Amino acid sequence: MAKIIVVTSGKGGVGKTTTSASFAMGLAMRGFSSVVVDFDIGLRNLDLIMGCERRVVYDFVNVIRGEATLNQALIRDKHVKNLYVLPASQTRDKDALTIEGVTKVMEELSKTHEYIVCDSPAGIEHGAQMAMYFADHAIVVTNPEVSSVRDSDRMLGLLSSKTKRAEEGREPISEHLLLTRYSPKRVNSGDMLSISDVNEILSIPLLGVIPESQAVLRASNSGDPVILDQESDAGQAYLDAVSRFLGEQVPHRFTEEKTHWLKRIFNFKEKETV
Amino acid sequence: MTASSLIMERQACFHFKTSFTPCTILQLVRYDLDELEQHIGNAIAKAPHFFQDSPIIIDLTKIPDQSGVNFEKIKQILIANGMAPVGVRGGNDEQQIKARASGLPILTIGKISHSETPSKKAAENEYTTKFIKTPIRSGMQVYARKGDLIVMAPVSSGAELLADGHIHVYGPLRGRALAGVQGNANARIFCRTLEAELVSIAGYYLTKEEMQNVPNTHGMIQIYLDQEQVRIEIIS
Amino acid sequence: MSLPNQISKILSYFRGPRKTAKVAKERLQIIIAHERGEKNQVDYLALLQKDLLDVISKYVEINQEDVKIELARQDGCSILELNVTLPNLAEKLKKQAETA
Repeated sequence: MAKIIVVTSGKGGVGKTTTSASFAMGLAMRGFSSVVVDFDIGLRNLDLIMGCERRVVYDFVNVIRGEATLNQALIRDKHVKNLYVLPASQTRDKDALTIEGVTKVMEELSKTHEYIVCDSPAGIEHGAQMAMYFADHAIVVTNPEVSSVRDSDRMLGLLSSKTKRAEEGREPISEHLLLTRYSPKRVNSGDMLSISDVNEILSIPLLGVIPESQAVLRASNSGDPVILDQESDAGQAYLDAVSRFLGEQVPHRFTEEKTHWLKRIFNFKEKETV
Repeated sequence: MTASSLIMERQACFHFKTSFTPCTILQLVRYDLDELEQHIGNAIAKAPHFFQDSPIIIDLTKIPDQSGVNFEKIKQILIANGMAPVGVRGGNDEQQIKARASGLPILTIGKISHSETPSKKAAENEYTTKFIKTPIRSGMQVYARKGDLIVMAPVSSGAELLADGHIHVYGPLRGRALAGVQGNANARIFCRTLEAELVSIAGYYLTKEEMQNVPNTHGMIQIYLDQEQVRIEIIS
Repeated sequence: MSLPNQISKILSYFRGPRKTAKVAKERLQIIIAHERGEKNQVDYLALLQKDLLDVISKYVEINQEDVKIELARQDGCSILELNVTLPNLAEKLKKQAETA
């Protein structure tokens, strides 16, 4: 039976799609047959981040409405084998996602894939609720910033009640915190919430800390998910997060300010981390 | 059944022990000896062994105005049917005197009657306490109806706690807490920190801004209502 | 790292960081033009299928499953493939005769 992971946050623009793309790719790189599904009907982005926007013919809604088969809609990723993308519709709206339709698609995907990563839209409305409904795991993407933390908290509340597991009284969803756009420098200067600040409020296990990185913008520009950029700290942080998810003990990196050896001697102004 | 023994003397030939034995209450609805004989006979015929040697307490609460009750006759009917009358409960003074005279002691009225099973209504009237051990997230609302609420986890900003009775929070309280929502002015809120967005007792409230002046404490805070004013007190 | 990759890395160090913004701009230009100008391929396929079904139904008795449309892309051009399964006329006449 496939494991379904929802990548959600409540707040928009915190890194859900970036995370969905890199996380699904990370799982595929480890040999697991994975598919990443875009639940943002009407405002699709996953195809852009994955770099397959020119190969979209049929989408999630077409499959639900029987206008195409799942095989026709799934796009094979060019970077990594074992990875497929199910894009969202750009023209229909979120009401096109029916519970019966989504159930059928999830069941069909479960037959051929080991991991299904659901990229949730922002907000708490229908699209987001559909994305989380079937999940076994939830990666709650949070920026160390007040409105993001509060929205994530709201999301955690919904995860414990508005999902299939909650309705059936089964074991609750496994919650994982992914802190993104983290800047140790700003935390040290007191301008940014620290990991422990966020943890104190949300109190769920920390899956990973992704540092603020210029590599993320470059990755979306070129359509190559940042986990492929193994020289960047963001890319490495995503690799670490995938390892932790798979049960490995990996210490958190990129949580301390990087001090250049020159700075330590002469107290020079430090270069922006890449 | 519990048992305890009381040994009086080393040489005593007996022990007193306490135990509980189930008893059947025979509640008389009408005083008619012929009818009683007939109906008891019918009852036994339906279940011959059920009442065999059963201790019976004769309940007189439904015939308080009946005079001239013949307890000897009642005892005879019961014994003839294999039952063992052991006492009487309820009844007016005259009935009780007569009962004692015929060898039946007066036993105190128990709270449980056999005819009624504990109904849902009874349970609803009970004062209960709601325990929450998992974090209460933003947007969640918890209502402890007819009772107190005890929370042993963090309460996020944007969450709401309501109770007819008291509210105790043993984690950080960052949301709203409303005690005595049905109007109980004696309800109190107990918490450790004052980060709550709003606290209210029986409808009277204080917002976070109005609570700014309270010094930070590591002890326990009590919030109560005093003459329509919400007061905050630091205990210990 | 393989030798060509190593050389590429050294050269890019001298060249400066890769200009991904340029790549992004190109990608956007293509995709936005596609989404704005051309009708969404798939939506219009479904509508086209329905319209064709309506027209053909005027002449022959067919069901939705009898009309199949597929859009194929080959070497930069799009090919629309239409398949219509017409009912067996002889069978149909036979049935009509039987029920009359």
